[in-house]
Amino acid sequence: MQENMDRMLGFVLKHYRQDAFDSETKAESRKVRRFPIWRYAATFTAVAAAVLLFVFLFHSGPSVSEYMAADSSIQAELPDGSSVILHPGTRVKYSDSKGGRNVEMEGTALFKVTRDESRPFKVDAGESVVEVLGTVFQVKQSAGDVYVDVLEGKVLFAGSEDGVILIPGMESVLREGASVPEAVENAFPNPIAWATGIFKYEGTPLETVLAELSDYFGREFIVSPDTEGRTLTGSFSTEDPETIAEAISAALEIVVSVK
Amino acid sequence: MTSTEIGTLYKQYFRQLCLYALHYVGNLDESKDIVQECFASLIKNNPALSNPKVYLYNSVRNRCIDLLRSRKKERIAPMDDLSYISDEEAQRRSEIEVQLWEAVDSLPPKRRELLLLNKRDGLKYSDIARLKGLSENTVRNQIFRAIESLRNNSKKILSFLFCL
Repeated sequence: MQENMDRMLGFVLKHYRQDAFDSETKAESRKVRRFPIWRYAATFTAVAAAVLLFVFLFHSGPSVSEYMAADSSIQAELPDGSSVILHPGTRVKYSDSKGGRNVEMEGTALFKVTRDESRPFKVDAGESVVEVLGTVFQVKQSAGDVYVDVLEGKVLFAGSEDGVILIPGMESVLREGASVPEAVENAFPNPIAWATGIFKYEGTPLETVLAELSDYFGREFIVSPDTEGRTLTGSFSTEDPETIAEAISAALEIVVSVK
Repeated sequence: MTSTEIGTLYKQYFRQLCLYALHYVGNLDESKDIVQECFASLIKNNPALSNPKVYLYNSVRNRCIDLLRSRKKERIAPMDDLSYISDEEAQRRSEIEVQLWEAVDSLPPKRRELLLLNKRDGLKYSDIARLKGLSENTVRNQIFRAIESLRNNSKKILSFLFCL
């Protein structure tokens, strides 16, 4: 029996994620749902008030709210209880009716959507439509292309002709002028680091780690030779590239420097 | 069933159904999706149920098997980390695992983090010590204590089950 118990414990530990069930046990109080990912973004909320340029509320017909982030990220709670983090330079317009919830946007935004089967949540970005069946996802416009990353739940991502269902870990892109989205390899493991401030790696090749950090900070992370095949597991929650370089150096007993 | 009754079922069984589904599909997000879909269809169709728990377990199992089939998986049997287990075993375990999960929830955060780095992420004591700036001894002690308290907890769960 004890052996069985250890196997069960092993199984639980293998899959354990803190707060994995938080939202579900509080499923009835939709309005106050809090998600772990937003906790990391709490730092942005303070800034949010200052940078939230305008919120229009039209009381006749469907309600419309508009949000815009200028120089820094902001987090906003939508009227239906969903949350959104806006990347600097992003504009999001939310409208709400009996038939569903609609968002028009330009830029990059991370959405955490409360489940409501009777009112689908749709995001219009350029020529694409993202319909949400589940929960956390990011929409990013880059040149004429639209990228969608899913972190939790399922998302239907459609061009003008056909769509794909995305699950966590998948990234898909609708190229400018295309009518059907195509799957792409996630360029980097942490596409939403800008919103969470967290870089998390699990057996990630060192070169991928350094490429992502270089891209994110706009500085070059350089490593001493002979590190081919090395991988990194762990997470950083700092905004300071030097500290990250030191942590990686210490963990792998190599020398990482930042230029 | 009224929505309040369904809400009570949700609270009572959501987590253990997720753990049950996890034995089939091996991915927590997909498991949660499957269980949520089952509840969504329960709300929509509102069938007359004599035993809601049996109904929920059956409908979760069917969806898990559908998912595995749709991926052309050879395997449609549940398993743990080591081997296949029977469906009954997966059901029985899910009820205990939900309590173990909660026991992990209630560990002191620092200790839990070290435990997970070791057992979940597969890091060696020496790697964790370097990553966290702790001595290897401290890491070993903390992990040992975490496992000990989980084991003690599991003894309580077992004796509780035998009392039923």
